[in-house]
Amino acid sequence: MALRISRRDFVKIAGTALALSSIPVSISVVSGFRQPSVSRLEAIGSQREAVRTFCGMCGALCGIQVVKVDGRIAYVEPLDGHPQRGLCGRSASTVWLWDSPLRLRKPLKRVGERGEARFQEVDWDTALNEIAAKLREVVAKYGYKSIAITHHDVWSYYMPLFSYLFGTPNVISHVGMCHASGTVARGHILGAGGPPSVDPDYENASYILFVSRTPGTASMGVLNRLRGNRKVRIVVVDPRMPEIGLGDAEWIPIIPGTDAAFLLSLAHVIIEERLYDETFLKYYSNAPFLIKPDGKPLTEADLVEEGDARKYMVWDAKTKKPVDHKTPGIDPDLLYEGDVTLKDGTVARVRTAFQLFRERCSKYKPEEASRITGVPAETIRRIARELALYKGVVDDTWFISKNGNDYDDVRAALILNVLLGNIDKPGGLCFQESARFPAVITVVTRDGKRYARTFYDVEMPEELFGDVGATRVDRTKYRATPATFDAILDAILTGDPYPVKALFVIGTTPIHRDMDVDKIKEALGKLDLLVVIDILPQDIVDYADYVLPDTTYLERDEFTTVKWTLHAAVHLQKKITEPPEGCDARSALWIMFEIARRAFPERARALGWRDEYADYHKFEEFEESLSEILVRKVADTWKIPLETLRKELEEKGYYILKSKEYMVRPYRVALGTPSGKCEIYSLTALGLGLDPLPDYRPPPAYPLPKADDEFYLVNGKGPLISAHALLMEPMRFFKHLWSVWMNPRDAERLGIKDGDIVELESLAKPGKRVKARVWVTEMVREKVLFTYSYVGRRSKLLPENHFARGGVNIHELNKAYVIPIVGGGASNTSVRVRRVT
Amino acid sequence: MVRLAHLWDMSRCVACMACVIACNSANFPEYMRSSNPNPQWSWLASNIKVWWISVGGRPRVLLTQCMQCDNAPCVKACPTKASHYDPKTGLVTIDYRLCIGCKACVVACPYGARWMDPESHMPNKCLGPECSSRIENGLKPVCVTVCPANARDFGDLDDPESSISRRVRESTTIRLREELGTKPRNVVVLRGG
Amino acid sequence: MRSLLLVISIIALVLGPALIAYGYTIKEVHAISWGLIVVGYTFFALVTVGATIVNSLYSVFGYKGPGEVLERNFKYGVWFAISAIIPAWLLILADLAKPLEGFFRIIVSFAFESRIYWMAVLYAILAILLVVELIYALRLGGGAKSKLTLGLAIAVLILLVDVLLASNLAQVFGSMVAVPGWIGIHMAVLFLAGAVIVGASGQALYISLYKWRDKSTLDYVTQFYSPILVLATLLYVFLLGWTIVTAWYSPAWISWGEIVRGAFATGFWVVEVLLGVVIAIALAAYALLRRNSIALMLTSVILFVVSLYRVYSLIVHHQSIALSPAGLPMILYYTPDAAEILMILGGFLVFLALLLLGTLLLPLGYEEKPRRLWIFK
Repeated sequence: MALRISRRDFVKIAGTALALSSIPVSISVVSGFRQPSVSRLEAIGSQREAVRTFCGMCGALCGIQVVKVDGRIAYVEPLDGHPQRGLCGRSASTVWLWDSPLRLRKPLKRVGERGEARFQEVDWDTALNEIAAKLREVVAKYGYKSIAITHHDVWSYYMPLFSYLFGTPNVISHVGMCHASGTVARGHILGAGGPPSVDPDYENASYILFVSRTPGTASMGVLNRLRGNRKVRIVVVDPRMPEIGLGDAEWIPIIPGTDAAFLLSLAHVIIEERLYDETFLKYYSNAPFLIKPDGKPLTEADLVEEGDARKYMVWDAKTKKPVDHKTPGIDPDLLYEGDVTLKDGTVARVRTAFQLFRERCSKYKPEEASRITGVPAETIRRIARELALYKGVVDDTWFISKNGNDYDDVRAALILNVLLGNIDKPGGLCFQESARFPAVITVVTRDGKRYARTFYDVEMPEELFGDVGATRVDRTKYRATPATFDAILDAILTGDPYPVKALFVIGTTPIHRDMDVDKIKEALGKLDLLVVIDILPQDIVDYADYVLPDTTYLERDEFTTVKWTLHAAVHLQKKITEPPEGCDARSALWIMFEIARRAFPERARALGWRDEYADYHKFEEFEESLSEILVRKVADTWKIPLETLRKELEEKGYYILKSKEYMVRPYRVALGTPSGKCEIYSLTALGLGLDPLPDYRPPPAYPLPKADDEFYLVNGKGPLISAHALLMEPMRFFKHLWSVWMNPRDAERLGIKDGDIVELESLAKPGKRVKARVWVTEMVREKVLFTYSYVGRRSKLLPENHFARGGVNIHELNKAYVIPIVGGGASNTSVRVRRVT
Repeated sequence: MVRLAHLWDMSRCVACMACVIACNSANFPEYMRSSNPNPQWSWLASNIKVWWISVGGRPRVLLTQCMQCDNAPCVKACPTKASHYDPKTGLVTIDYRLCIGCKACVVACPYGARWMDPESHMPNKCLGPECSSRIENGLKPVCVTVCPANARDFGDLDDPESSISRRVRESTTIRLREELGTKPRNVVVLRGG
Repeated sequence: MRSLLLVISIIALVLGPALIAYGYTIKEVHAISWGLIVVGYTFFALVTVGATIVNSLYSVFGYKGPGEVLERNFKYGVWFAISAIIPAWLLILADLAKPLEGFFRIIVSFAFESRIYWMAVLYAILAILLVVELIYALRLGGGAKSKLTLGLAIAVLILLVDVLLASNLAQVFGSMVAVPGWIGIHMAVLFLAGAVIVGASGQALYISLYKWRDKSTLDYVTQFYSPILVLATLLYVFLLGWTIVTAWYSPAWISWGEIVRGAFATGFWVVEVLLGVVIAIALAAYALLRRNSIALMLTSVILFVVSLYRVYSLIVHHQSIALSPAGLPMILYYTPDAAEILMILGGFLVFLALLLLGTLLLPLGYEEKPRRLWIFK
């Protein structure tokens, strides 16, 4: 026997096996097996601390409180009482952001080719000095205006300051790829501005029609307001079902790019069934304005010598003659059509703006509109009647840079509210109360000399303005645009109207924001300097010469207005934590000042920068003092005792300066339109050479899909969508984010199953192909594919198998199209689909 | 008697996932960075599950978590009485000192509301440790307070004055898979009041 | 040769539990909770139950079998049953998070409503009874049937406990309302019929291999076990058929439907039906008619393996398709991982090692009596 083993031993071994089961608990401690932990039970009785602030995971800035459990940032809650009380998956993933393994931790300097993402870590001084030296070189050769800065919402308050710091007018935001068309339309119809300047009165509305909008998924404060309204009926019109459709909202699937036809058809029904608010149209809109055959409005100047060209004439039904629309006691005729004799004796056939609009709408009788939009004629009639019956409101849209005909969509939406007379009334489309928040810079003139005066009361004389007064690159091309970054790309590529050689990208990612990734990459390659300031490796980082790590909203103070509320309100963000160990992040404000101090020291000094602020702790004191100054200024403006405001902000985190007052504009205060009234016939548009009335035009941005395997590819936002939030670990598990959505009937027709990989080939850019996983869902219309924004990452700084590589970056498949004059881009496109696996 | 339960309102939820994500960071901080924190559900370390469903061709979303059954199969299946009804709150609770990780409760739950912890190999369920601690301190669970859509509530069904009881009275509600006899307490609101 | 076998079996007896222990430390969480380890445990438990039922033909009912084959090999049968229950216990403990305190925790909980609680109770009783029976049977020696009622009492008790055990184990699954394919009495009857198949085929194989030189014993083994295998298989088919037919009108069809004509249909028709019924019955009939012990051994091997598949299908496949809280079918994907496979291998090593060791060291032969330490040769 090779191995002697006694039977006694054997009994022991066998016995052990049998006895295992009856060994008491204490033995388990010495066992080598992994022991389950019960330490979690100890969480009971832990210490909780809630810090009131506002969220910075997207641009909406909802009121939240960050809850620390035993000192750990554990979760985020919506802030009760806050006028924009909100939260969402993005906000909830804040807890992951702070020490995200992806976080940019040190300044990086490019060592490879642009796009290779090969960097070396450098110290702040090296990075800033080198950037400054390069900037001076660029300015010496091409002037200050060859510097451009692009941004999104974060740091947007300070952008005018950056503009003066670098002496360039070219601070160009994301707006051209977001709400540009809407903002222009709001200006033209209502004399209003960006999205929150007018907004539905969510709390009091009885019926809201959202067209091409994902209501309550960007600003969750809006959702919170909607959910507090127990009577509201919500209808969403979109090629894909916005998330709110999962609840009790009615979803009307529509063919992409046909919203204007749908809306004008609603207007048609409302007009022909006389469901409009006649009084409102007569007195608060330019519907009764008389329009000459050349399309221009009949003014006093047309009728009498030395008449006022700004006195617009209406036909008074009482006196049967044209009178100035502002004449008291008149009864303007909405439907007038007839001859008037002009001052030169000629007779002109005039018609009211209303008649012209009515004629325009009559092109879109429900049956015709149904053919265009794919929405049943009966549905169109029903929605029109419901809108009138419930005194509904049509939302003014938000992200709308989609199909290249979006300007007309928004105009039609706004005009519907005018037809319904539901402007600035409870439950209607209302004007936001201004917080009269101090601008970061105002230009003041003293003794014939101009000064750029900051809110912290430092002045820079005009000789240091550099090229600030020059025409912005995008405005040379698109006269009415709020911002069109595509024009910067053109300027980089062609030098027209002047060269752009240095680009600062602050908290934004053009590769997932702007059209045509190939074009963007080509332009980036031609820059002399590209600096990216961000907190995470967005795709643009791969192309940067220098990458500078920014702070998150948890790591800095900020005091600003509450965006998504009709009230005038302000809120305060307090620094909650330092950046994590090993992360040498600096606030973008410090970065930009420090670059300016090294490149253009006289400017930095003139704008109040002291050398000692190079010490980041000193800067943080400065930063805190900025918030203090802003609080003081707001207190002064509103005549609130400073201590009261301070105390309220400390205790509640927000302060309502003025509650929404209804029935002000246009009733008591003239609008910012040429006539001061709501303009269904836009005189501003007319002046710009645009059609003064909205119309439906087929999407010009891409070829329309025809064949069986051709689809519209549309994109949109959602409650998990922001460039940063999408990189947080929890997002991995939500497959709808990382897939292209396809209707089950299309999937069946093409033999595609949920989870299959397909190849999408752009119809706009033949040959351009992208692969993606398919999510088969009823949430998208037939013949349409949907993808979220900011997905389909390519950055080489992300791990090879990172989940954010999933999905389609729609800008890889579209071609740049910008609406002339208006400046809105078009992100949607069309594709051919082929199953790969 | 106190019968605490969750309410989730299908007509208000927009699938923003705030509750799903907050449940993870509040209750399972140790699994925030793990690439496979919840292999049982192929999901994040959260007690809330999301079901994309179609009701009569209409896409809907259903969020589920422990249903707090009055006749809980998990409690019946448990061989060590680790799964039990908490005498104070009526909530189905696990005593981890007694639990041996046999997984019978996980198999037994017709709502798939439990998931095995990949480290300890013990079952996790709603309410997680932080939420249990919160309700001890008179706070509502995290998923309820984070909801921006007012789609959630939590409270005592036996107290007619509680907000959850009021919402149940004013809404059209269902309990999931009642046909199984589990007597789930959690309420799903179809049409909100 | 004997020493070599002894060394091999002792190594296997050490290696088996080591594999199980190692598997325990690296096991992972899967989409379904009860995977291959529980399958292995159930399988071994059914081997024990089946073997005990077969043994009881002699021990309880006094049937000695053709050529007294049952009486003459009774002690082998007892040892076979004991050998199978040990790996079953090791596996189920290793499937727990707390294997060392698991049994204790269950026993002291008095959770009478829990099926698993009763498993622990029944195992505790069974463990005692098996030791008693082993000692009693071994010490009896010479194949002389006890004239005392003690032996009969033990045998009756063991049979009772085993039948209760198998049915209770079946109802651990059969009372899970969450798994539509399980819920119902069919689990108990399928488990009992299945136990006879796997117990009989295992024993037949074991005795055939041990007595492979004894032509006449082989002949009797074939005569005795072939009809048992045929009858038990027919019974199983009968019960399974009605189970499936009944499932048509219940939620159980979501998994039975997949088994009969869906994702798992190939395995069902090829392994369970073609191999486990058609070929097995044909081979067993051939073995019986031609007194062909090779055919019997082949049948036994087939049925032993098919039984493992059957247990796998009953446990895993039904768990794989469940109804979601919305009442809609959902699929849970499961493939055994390396840890589970190692643990199952460990279980088989323990089983085979015990069989071998018992055969080598214990007086299992009809004529043998213990000489040392009460039970050893």
